[in-house]
Amino acid sequence: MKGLTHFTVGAAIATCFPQAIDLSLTHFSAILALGGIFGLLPDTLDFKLAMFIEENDYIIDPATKEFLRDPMDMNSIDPQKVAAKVAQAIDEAWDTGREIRLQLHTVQVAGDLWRHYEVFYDTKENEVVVTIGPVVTMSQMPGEFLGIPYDFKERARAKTKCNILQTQNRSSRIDIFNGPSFGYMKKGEEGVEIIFLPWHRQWSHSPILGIIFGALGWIFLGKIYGLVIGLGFLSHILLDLTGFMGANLFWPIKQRRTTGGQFLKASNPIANFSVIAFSGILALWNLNKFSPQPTFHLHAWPYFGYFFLLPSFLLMATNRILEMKGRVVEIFKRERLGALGRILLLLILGEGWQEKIKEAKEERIAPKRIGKVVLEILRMMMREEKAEVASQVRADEEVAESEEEFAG
Amino acid sequence: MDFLILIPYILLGTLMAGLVSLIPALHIFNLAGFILLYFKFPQLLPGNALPAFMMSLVVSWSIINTIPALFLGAPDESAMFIVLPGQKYMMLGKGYEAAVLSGVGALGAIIVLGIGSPVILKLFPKIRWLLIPHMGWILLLICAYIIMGEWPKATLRPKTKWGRFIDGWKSSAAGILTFILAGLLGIFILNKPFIPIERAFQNIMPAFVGLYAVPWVITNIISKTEIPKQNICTSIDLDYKLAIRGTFAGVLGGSFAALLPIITGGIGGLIAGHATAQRDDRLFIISQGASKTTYYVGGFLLFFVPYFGMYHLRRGGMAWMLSPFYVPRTIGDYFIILATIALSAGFAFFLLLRFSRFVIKVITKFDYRLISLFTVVILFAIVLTITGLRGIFITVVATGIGLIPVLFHSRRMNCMAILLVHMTLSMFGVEPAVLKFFHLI
Repeated sequence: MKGLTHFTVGAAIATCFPQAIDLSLTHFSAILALGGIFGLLPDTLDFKLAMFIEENDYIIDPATKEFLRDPMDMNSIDPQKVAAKVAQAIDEAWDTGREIRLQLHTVQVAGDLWRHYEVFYDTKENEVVVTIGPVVTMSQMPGEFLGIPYDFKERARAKTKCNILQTQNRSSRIDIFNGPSFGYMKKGEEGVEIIFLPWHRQWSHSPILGIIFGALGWIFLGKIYGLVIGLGFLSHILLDLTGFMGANLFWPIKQRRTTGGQFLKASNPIANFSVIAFSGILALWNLNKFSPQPTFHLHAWPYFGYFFLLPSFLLMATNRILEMKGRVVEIFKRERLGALGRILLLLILGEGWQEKIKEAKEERIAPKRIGKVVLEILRMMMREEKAEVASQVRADEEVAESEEEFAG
Repeated sequence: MDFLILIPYILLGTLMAGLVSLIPALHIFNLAGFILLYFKFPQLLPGNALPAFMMSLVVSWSIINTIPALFLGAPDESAMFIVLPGQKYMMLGKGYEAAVLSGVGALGAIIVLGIGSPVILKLFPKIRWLLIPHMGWILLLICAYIIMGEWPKATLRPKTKWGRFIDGWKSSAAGILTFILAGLLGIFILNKPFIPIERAFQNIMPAFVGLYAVPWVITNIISKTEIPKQNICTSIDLDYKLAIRGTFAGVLGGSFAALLPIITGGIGGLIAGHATAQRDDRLFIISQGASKTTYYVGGFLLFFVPYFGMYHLRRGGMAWMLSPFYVPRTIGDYFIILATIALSAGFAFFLLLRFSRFVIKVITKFDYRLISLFTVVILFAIVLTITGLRGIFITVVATGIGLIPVLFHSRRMNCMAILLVHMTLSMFGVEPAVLKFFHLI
């Protein structure tokens, strides 16, 4: 999840404690803010500390002599040399059996100009593919700079000794500020696994650390502070576990991340927006409920129904319907289902829902009632998706997730 | 009152605000204050037309003030986040598209405000009353987010851990420094006004101009920016999904800012930007357009909620200025204002397109550095006119602070500390001690 989401969730959790609200109202206490602060802290620790203390076995700085064709011209980067070096690091992980870490540096060619390049792991051919691109601005926009065309592209490949496992389907793009690091870990006799940003979501995302912070808060500030701090921190880990990259649940016993539940991407806008909105609505509910003079009197169900469930449903429905635009009319004309049934199918199954129903009927799972049809199809879809996610998609989303976070 | 009678005033207000929006640093509140102070409005405006006229000023300003931010790099506080993606679009020859995107966001926000008007009527005043006692920790939370949420922009090149740490923290440290200095500037100017007492209500304006507008324009001059040929497109690359997402994120941030006292449009923009959660510039620009409009229009709309009898919700400068002249009494007033918003927004969107084309024509015809230089002159001339030489002094100091994030690539949102620190300290009751420390009391 994004930083703002973690932050609002942490603060909303803090408002669940009537004593905390009372402290903030009567003693000018910052306790409610602490929930938000500790909700964001794991990422702050990573991006403001952990990334600097990482030690790498290989450092690739393409603008140095080792990777240049002409040592006097920093624009003459040889992609072959870069690819070979990355492949060498993977091979070393394979040969030695220990985790090898590699850092890719950016190439700053002038004040606000950077050379773009990409690294891709081809799992089919077991090759490292490096593409040198054009010069880009701070806004990552390519342009005609230093005599290099805006569409410049030079690609090279280097073979590895072993299989490359669980890597992303897309390239890692390197241009402004800093480049990513990778961990290469031998996985039995299968090959070498690629770990994107190996320093991220490790010790900083450990429940043990949350408990330590909570205990310190309890000892030095009081029980309620400890709870707010600890739960704020743990909420971050819990939210991260909904994604792909996961968190290190067993640090310091284990040094590897535990894969997340893969329900959604950290950058998923709907999920982030919904969680932020829900946190705000929950915080308002708590502030009102635990206030000495509540300003509104509503029961929980109508409150959350009107202000969260109904708007969420309307938002998703509008989104889906507008997405389908002209097709909606066409579908409605063609199908014989009742209007409500059609709308429901459209909302739940999305585009191509007729085909899915046909498939379900062919498999003889089509009962008479439309509700059952939907359920069967949903089950079928979930089975399919699970199988897909288990393979390449997981790693791809993992990279996307951390790239979004990495971009702040 | 017959709405038809109001239409000419609404259109006039929209047009006037549109023209004022084109002048960097000149805020719509300046124009409104000028009208209320120096015009004998009963002769020019029928009494009941005044609120509709004022609302049309706000609506139009909130939509069209994107233009100086996008094309001149001279935003007001609420439009500060639009500068970077706007410049990016302009360098691609798509400046006009960026203006349209922000307008789409603004129109989206108007639609949401219209649909949500019963909620605003019934619920917003209550939420506002509920949150006022909690402003202290909410402000602290925002301060914490601004400081904690800025990731270091490190090259990771130094060989030692300590070297990498120092290298990485340069931009973060610059951000924190900006936050501290802007905070101190806020404490000084808000507690000991430097500008003449008769213009004390303009206390913060020269600082805003220095923090947000001047640094970027100076950068444009130094970096010898040349504007490529701009494409005036007839359609834009946008789907409903993006428009809805951007609008809702913007409305979320803008409502937060409109609802709560002290929270400014910039903070609304910050929340909107982070709530979009993606790196799509289109989404970001839409969200900023929506946030800005929700903040200005939504905040002013609260004034028309007939909720607390004589005591009305006065959110923002316009409500404070209008309150001595007008008191909304019935629900009818509220709905007339809603109709005003709809009409004014439609006209303002049309003006946004026309004015954007005009400004594009100007900036591509002349040397952009010359235009930037001219913008700086206008900025300082307006500060001088409104606040005098002391105002210029504040602008210069604020420009020094505002240049830190530009030069060190840290976030410009740290400049928001100018209001946040002062108010947070005040809410926690520690400001007297701070003022005593600085010998300000």
